[in-house]
Amino acid sequence: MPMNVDEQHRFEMLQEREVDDAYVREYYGIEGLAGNADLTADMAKYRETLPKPPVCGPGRFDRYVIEGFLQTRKLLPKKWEAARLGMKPAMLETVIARRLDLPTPLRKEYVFYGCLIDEELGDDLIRVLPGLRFRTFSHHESFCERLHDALRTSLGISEQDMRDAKLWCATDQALGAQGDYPRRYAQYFDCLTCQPLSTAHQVWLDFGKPLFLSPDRCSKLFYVRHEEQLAPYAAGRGEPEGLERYREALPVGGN
Amino acid sequence: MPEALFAERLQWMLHALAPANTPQGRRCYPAALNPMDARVGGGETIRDMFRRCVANSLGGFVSGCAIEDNLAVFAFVRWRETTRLSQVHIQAIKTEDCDLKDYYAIDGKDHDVTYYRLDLDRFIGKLFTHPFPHVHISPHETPRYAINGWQSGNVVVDFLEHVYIQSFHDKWASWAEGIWGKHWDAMGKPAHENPFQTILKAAVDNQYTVLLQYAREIEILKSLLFSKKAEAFPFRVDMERCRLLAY
Repeated sequence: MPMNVDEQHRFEMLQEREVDDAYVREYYGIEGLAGNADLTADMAKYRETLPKPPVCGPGRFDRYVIEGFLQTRKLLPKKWEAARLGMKPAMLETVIARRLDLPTPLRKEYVFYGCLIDEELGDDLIRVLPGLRFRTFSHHESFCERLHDALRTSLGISEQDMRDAKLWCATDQALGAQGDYPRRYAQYFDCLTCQPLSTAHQVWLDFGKPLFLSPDRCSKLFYVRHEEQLAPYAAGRGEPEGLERYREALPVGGN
Repeated sequence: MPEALFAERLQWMLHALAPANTPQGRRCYPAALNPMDARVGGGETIRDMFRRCVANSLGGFVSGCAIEDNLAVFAFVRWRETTRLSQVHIQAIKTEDCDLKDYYAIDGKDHDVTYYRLDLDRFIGKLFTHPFPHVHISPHETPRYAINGWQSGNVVVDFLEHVYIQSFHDKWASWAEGIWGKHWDAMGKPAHENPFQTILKAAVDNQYTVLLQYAREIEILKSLLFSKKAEAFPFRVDMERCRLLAY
């Protein structure tokens, strides 16, 4: 089955380093990067430290530079930091705005360039929320449940608001009754569909990105739907594991 | 002082438990620990035992048994033939909702802890119920488990590593990365990117096929870690007994 126009465009784009403004918005969640003068200036300085970076045309960006800059500065786009905490960006903004109301107030600045978040926020929240500091979390679901409960109690957020703010894995939801129990929280985003994605339902793709950067991930359900195109880009040795359940979930005819 | 393990205080503890070139002997950690205190009696909680050990062997000085702010260890080791372990009981208590000082001090709260105990003794029990040695995750009898790494015979360090892998994985990974990093630098492969972080990430992201791609590096890593652990503690388990009682 062919990818839709947007997916096909992203798939072709990811085989190179350059991405367009729409991709920066949809995947990284960064709006108007070209107009963010402080951010582009600092990224340009970072770019100069790289060996032979390509020169991007207008409205296009080097994703290795974007991701390398974020990694070096230990920053994440708001959308990605929120996903790491299993929530939607609006709830993350509420938490940051109310960080002085936490049992131990967080006085640090966490927002940089208006759209990037200090990735230490998650660790800092764990340190100041009652009952979380010393805990070993067995998995991301356990982490998110406990974090959300602690935030709700500490900041007086209603149950309904917290429930609405949870970011679920789109693949798990698409699997419906064949999805996992308990439901999977998202932690990343699919690099081709830009949908929220959990570790359980992801497969790594190898578009030749350097190892020091975060891998490109897509949903296993999306992978089996477009296996012919994606198989040459599967990372690692051999076919990704556990694809049978996703193949079974495809409607007859491969849709 | 040998090179550091996953935690500096752990290294000091191992140093205190293993005097050099002594044909036989016994040691406790903390040094004044009475092994009889370090047992959870009927009707007692883990906290009752913890408080008794801290009070009697450390005069209430909680830091004396703290390997981390939320990890306490009480150990008893007996050996013969200079390096042969004949009896070991090590309890590791990790508090989940407070640090050890609060665990000791604050009454009336249902504290959440993770408990590990390594037992190595001559008790065999019903056939194959007691792997030699074994680990308990509850203070009272069954179940008992054999865990990874007995092949090395270095059971004390393997047990402590198990606690760190399960409960302090970031610290363990940072130690492992340091050892791997030295190996990688010595290999002199500047054209190749160091795959250590990718291996860690692939594991947490369930990417088995990526791990498979790094199978050789993972085997080298294991061998480097085994060597480093071997340097950390001289006493070994009786492997013949270990094999016979394993099933």
